[in-house]
Amino acid sequence: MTMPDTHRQPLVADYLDRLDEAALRLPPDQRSELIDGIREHLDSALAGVDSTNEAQVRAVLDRLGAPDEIVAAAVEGEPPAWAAPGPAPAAQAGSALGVREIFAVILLLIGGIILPVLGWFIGLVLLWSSDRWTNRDKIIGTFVWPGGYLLPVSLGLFPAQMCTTDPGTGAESCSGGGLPAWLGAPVLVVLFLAPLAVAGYLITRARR
Amino acid sequence: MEPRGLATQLRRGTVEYCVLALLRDRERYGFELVHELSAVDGMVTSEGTIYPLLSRLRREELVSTSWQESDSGPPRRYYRLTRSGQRALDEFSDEWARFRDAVDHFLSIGRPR
Repeated sequence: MTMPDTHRQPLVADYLDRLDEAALRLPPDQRSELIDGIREHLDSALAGVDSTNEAQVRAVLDRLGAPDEIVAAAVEGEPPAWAAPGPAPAAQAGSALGVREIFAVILLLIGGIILPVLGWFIGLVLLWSSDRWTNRDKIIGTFVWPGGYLLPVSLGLFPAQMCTTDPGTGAESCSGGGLPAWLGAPVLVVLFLAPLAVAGYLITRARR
Repeated sequence: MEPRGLATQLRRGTVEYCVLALLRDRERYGFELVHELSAVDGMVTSEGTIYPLLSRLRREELVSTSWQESDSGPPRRYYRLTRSGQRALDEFSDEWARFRDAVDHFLSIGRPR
């Protein structure tokens, strides 16, 4: 990514040093992306410039702006400009959900019950093929919960199957994985509520 | 409000759509975008501030990027409009036209035609 000849020019090297230092405020991935971008800019901007001509080099750097100013713009840009005053929020808010997004959320919730297991996978495909959601949204949608309501519904409908009484000895034995009632009830509530919360979240995100 | 502060206020939230609009017809690399933007008076004061903006557009998935070889020197990062970028641009274009007409309406009140 470097072009030593131009970047070694003293004014340019000093500029890049100051940028490196100013950019320490940024998260590492943003920092390296910014520095790479500025370096690439300098490669192009200085290509037609005699690097021994200080005035010309200085003019390129002046147009670029002070490193502090550039890093300040990176910090100021978060949260995104949608939140800034202007026409953007109205344009973004409440945009209609696509058919794909509606089907994705429904199938992720109950697709696994309507069409056992496969229905949820179809929802998953719709989720990942939509561009309304970021990868983070998609990961959340995938892991809460795999199968959607298939798991909590099958646990909730047949809790009795976990414990059986031996007719011969009268001893009660619980099959492995069965939870005591005081723990089972809250777990079931979480299993039921979490997919609803995630569905609400996905809808909100898709409407941005 | 001093003039520079006013210009900054107006640019905030609009420059990014100018970037998206420049990508409507084809993908471009960073310096090319900066060059086009600063060729028009009043759009960019410090060219370097476009790069954090590009980074944010990428993270918001309004643009996607790819590295491509250049004839002169190291590979360049090219920016391309995504489908959601296209949608954001279309929405902004409509909203901007309404907003501009509304402001023009009030600015023209009482002014001789």
